[in-house]
Amino acid sequence: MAKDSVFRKFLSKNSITPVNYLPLVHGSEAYLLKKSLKDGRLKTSVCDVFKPDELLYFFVGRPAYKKEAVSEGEYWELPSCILFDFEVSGAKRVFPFDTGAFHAKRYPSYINMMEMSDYEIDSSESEIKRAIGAFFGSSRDYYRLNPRSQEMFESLHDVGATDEEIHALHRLIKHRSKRSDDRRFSIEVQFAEAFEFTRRKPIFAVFPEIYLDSEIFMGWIKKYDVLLETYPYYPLRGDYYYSAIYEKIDKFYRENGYYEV
Amino acid sequence: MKYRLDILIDLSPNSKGLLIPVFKIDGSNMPFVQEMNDSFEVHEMKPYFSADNYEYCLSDVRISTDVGEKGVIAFRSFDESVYVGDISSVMKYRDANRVEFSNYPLLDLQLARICGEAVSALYEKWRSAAKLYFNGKEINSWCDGELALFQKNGAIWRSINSEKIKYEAEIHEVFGSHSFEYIFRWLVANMDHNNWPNVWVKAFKMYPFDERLHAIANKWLVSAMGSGVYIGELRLILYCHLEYIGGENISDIDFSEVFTEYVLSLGQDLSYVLYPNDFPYLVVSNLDFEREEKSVNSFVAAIIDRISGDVRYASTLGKIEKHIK
Repeated sequence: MAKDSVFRKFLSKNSITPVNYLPLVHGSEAYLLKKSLKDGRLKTSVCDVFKPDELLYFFVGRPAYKKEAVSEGEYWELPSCILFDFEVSGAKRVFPFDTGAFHAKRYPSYINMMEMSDYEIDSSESEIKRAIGAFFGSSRDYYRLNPRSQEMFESLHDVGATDEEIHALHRLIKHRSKRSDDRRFSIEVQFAEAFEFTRRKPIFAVFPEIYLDSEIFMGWIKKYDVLLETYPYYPLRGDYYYSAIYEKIDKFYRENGYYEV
Repeated sequence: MKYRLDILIDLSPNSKGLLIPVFKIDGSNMPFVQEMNDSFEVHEMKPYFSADNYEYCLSDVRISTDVGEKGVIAFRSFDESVYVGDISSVMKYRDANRVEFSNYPLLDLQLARICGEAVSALYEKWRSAAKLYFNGKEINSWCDGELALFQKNGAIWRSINSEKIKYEAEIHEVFGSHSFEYIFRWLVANMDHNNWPNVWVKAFKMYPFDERLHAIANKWLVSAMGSGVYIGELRLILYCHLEYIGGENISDIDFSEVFTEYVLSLGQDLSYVLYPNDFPYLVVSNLDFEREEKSVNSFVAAIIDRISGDVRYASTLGKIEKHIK
């Protein structure tokens, strides 16, 4: 159970309509997720932010790839992602943003000056849905990072001038910058245990399209009965890959009723 | 500084399809991948630490490129040969071998897309590829997804280009049309600036072995490592600088002391210095063995333990063993 953080207090004192759930998304370099399919599980690993915990990270709904937050400039990436049903019982921690980016001070100073712990929320299904519902009118708006306007947000909620942390969070969602990209409001869910695919079945995956031609890879996809989408990897451009992955997941959500209230 | 083709990442070995060229600059083992624009010109060369984690193949073709020039396209063709060339040569090659490609739907689709085929022609190729890899309703679903993505391509690239302009204005304003000398002076005067590492890497790409550039990297690294900056934040500069020190046979006791203390504290973050695959050797060869002999030996043993048995590290392991003898 998370401590009574500022964000939790805000959620508890306001009447918030929860949004529909979206799946849990785990994104990583293609070779790592290919290996996960081979092994039949996603493994935990030591995290720089919550040492010495070994954790497995997901974002709710959004393929906000948890890439390294480095100041040396960006590295090239070949991303991929796997989606799981929204099942959060057993989660260790939940935050409304990428804690790695917060820790590495990738967010603007108005939010990085706050305590990260002020934003931790409970790992219950209802609290996560309400956390999204506070800032977004629907799960589709959340996916598209299209938050309520400041006026609307303030008229709907009891949020005063002294609730700096909440104002900062809303400002962060609206802050468009490559430095903090789409992780500025993506609900991060941490698990302290591996995801065994026999127990937590992957439902959807996006990989570079050449994997279609690998019999071994396609054998794993069939074994776990995962719906596979692909993206073209030429022209070689990381920003394009993320856009393509977002489009493919958006289609999956639309066709499978995830956006319906 | 030209980037010359080194290896081709082979995501699905033996498949007929596109390969990912990895480049190096003379004297460095840092792998780079060309980020392209939608006209297949090189927009940026980005370091790619993970290159060693994929299977790869080689090409006899000697080719190089640079930012602003035509990008390099590579694929395994219908006859198992590895083709490497720019967009113009790929179009000619495809025109000369159109019939052959139709037997390999995915390669056919990939080249049709690159060569700018109309959506009507692409749709047939999506269907052919989908029938090969999917069954039942998944065939239509995959084709629909490809069509929807294709129709959004224009908007996606407009968004990428506008973001790029904003990002460059925000981050790279120091460059503009300025010379290396201007950038170097900026680096000297702005050691505490948030973007210092980013700017240094840009300067490194221009003149990777400029002595002054490494003198200032040394100073910055000593400060960053001394204050415990996270390894993920400095490993690129560290790698480039260690390569330079090794190549020039430079011995710097002060650097070595701070460096040794820093890497001994890496713990689980040791994985950050395991690739490119000569990184472990560069680390070991710069350790101060006299400073904390027991800890240093344990650290070296941990590195050897992590890379032993991995064929990619055979040469590195040999060099480490030779060094510690």
